[in-house]
This record gives sequence, structure tokens and C-alpha cells, in this order.
Amino acid sequence: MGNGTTIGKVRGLGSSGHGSHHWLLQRFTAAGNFLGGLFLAVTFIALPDLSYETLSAWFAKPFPATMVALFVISVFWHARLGLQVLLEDYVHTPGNKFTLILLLNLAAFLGAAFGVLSVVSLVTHQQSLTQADVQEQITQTLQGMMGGAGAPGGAAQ
Amino acid sequence: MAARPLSPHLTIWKWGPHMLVSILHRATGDGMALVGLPVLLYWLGSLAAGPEAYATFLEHANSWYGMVLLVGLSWAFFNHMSSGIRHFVMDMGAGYDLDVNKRWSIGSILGAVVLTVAFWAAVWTL
Repeated sequence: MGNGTTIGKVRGLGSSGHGSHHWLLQRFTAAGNFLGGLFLAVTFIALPDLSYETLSAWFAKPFPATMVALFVISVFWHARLGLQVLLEDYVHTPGNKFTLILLLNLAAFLGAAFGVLSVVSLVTHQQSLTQADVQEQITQTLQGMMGGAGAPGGAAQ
Repeated sequence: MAARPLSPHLTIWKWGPHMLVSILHRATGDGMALVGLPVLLYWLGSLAAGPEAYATFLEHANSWYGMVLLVGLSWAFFNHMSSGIRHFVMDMGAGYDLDVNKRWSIGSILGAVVLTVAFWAAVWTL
């Protein structure tokens, strides 16, 4: 095994010097997962139902949307660190280990980006929906002021 | 690399709660990473995709296999959370006495089961 000499580091033996960074980030993201996970758990209990209307409106609000986006980043970061340790413990062939850790990094960024963009799209969708609702209300009010003539659906009643 | 003598492994040790809590911490963590995160993304993605996609998600979630998966994942979350808190305490250098360690190991496993039951009871009744 390498004893920390320069040639040992070149050969990939001995300490890489990044262990404490990995260790600290595992704990920082664990705290983030704890807060975000509890927020989601309380949300599931507190919301009246878990229908599309209820959830899409709730997660479009600034605070819940921020919490879920941060939770996604924190859990994917934490999972990347945890699965890296799993690979380092059980995959011993250097080439395979390198490839799997590379794929793990790609998958973690892919998943985090997909999750955050889903939240962003929920927020923007809700905003467009609210504008459409307002426009519909204005149209209906105008039609009502003009006597309701030709209002859709009126003849069938 | 030359064949080296290995330290005694799983088969030779007398089982104790501290071993189980350590194994469960890794199993629930890696299980959530490999299964739970795709479920999380499916949930968020189907919400973002619209009512029809979310209805399909709910169909799966409310089926028997969906319930088994979701209850299992919630237990994995609470178990990983409680043994993770145990790790935070041990990071501070506390809880290494044999009897204290054993008690907290059992406590973290039982606590996770209690939290899982309480969570679903609250979701279904409140």
C-alpha cells in the first residue's frame, strides 16, 4: 500500500486527501434530507387529500416549491455519496469502479435536474393557469353585462 | 493482487443489534437511492406532466404493489433517519459503552417501526 509518497499518490494508493470533505458533505446533506423529509411527511399528513388539484396547487407555492427543490438536490447529493461508498466497498476492479462512479455521477445530476425542473414546471403551470382563470372570469363577466346572449351552454337548460 | 488473509466475516460473529442497525442503515440507504429516488421522480414528473399522468401514478400507488412499495420506502426513510441520528450522536463520541450502544441500536430499529405506523395512521385518519 502507498505510504503517502508522491509516487504512491500517482499510483492511486494511500489517502487522496478528500475523505473528510466526503464525510462532512454526507452529514450536511443528511441534515438537509432530515428537514426536507419531515416537511414532506407533515405535508402528506396535513393536506386534506393527495389529489392532482391539491398537490399541484400546494407545490406551486413559493415555500413548498423551494423545500421540495432543495430536498431533491439534497437527497441526490446524499445518494451519490452513499452509493459511491457502496461501489468502493464492493467493486474491486479499478476500471469497473471508475466507470460505475462516473455513471453514478451522471445519474445523480440527471435525477436532480429532472426533479428540480419538475418543480419549476409545476410553479409556471400554476401561474399560467391562474392567468387563464382570471381571463375566463373577465370574459364571463363581460358576457353577463351584455345580457348573456349566445352564452355557451345556455340553450340546453 | 496477491491473495491476502481476510478478517472473519458475517458467518463467524455472534449477532447483535449493533450489527443489524449498521446493515439496515446501508440497506435502507442504498435501497432508497436505487428504488425510492425513481419513485420520487415519477411522482414529481407525473405531477408536472398533468392530471392524466398523475392519475396513472395514483393508480399504481393505490394498487397492492404500490402500497407495499410506499409503506416499505417510508419504513426505509424512518429507519435510515433514526439510525442516522444515532450516527450523529456517535460522531460526537457518545454511546460507545457496550450496554448503551446495544440499547440505542434496539431503540433506533423500534423507533423506526413506531414512526412508520404513526405516519400511515396519521395519513389515513387525519
